[in-house]
Amino acid sequence: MVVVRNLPIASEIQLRFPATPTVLVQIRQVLRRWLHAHDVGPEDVAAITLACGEACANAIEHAYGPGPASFELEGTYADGVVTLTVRDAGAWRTSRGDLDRGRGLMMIEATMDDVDVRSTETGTEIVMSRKVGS
Amino acid sequence: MTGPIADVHFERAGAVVVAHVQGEIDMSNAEYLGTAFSEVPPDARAVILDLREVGYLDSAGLRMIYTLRNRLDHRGQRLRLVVAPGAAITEALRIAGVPQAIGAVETVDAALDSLET
Repeated sequence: MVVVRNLPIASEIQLRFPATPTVLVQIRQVLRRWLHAHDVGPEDVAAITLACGEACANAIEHAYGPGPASFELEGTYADGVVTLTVRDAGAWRTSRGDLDRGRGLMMIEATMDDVDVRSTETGTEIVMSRKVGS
Repeated sequence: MTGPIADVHFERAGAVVVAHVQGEIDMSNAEYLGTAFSEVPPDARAVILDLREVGYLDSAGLRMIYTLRNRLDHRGQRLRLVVAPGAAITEALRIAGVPQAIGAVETVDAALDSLET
């Protein structure tokens, strides 16, 4: 990997991933690196990484049916607030005794200051933000 | 990614099995890690799940822990967790009520002591 140190730190990230569980570890690496570059403290990094992981896991679970599926992750850092958006093409599943997803949403709500789960015409969008110390 | 993002190795301390987990636990490997515990012999009195080297754990990992607890309960075996103070996974465990439901200490020795009684 080439590391270019004198580039300005991106205030935004925008990424698309295939909807498969093995991308989760890559997402955590990208997210942690981006948060560290903004001097976000370890407690905030752990909380945001957890919330992001749960939202992405949910997007991956939506990926039923034939054909390749993908989802988007966007992150912005502005005025000490990190906002993440995870966008997929499915519906948030909390029914049918799906304990993991129920617990996943619980994790997101407990670690982020603001959480908004929106049904869009094409799927589900979760927007979540947390004020961070730096 | 090449290679597993977490692994577990087992150690015997008398009648107690100590499972040292290292890495990160998410939906890509939680179920697989859970199956490793079928190696716990029926004559073991308890399992100590050492999570000090676990850097990430989400709801899939929490399900693995609760499934393990239930399976051990069923066989009359106890479970103790070891979590490093201030670890990144502390928050996930706290939100899911793990410290109250299962009990977590900071060292394997403390876990062994708690099983003496």
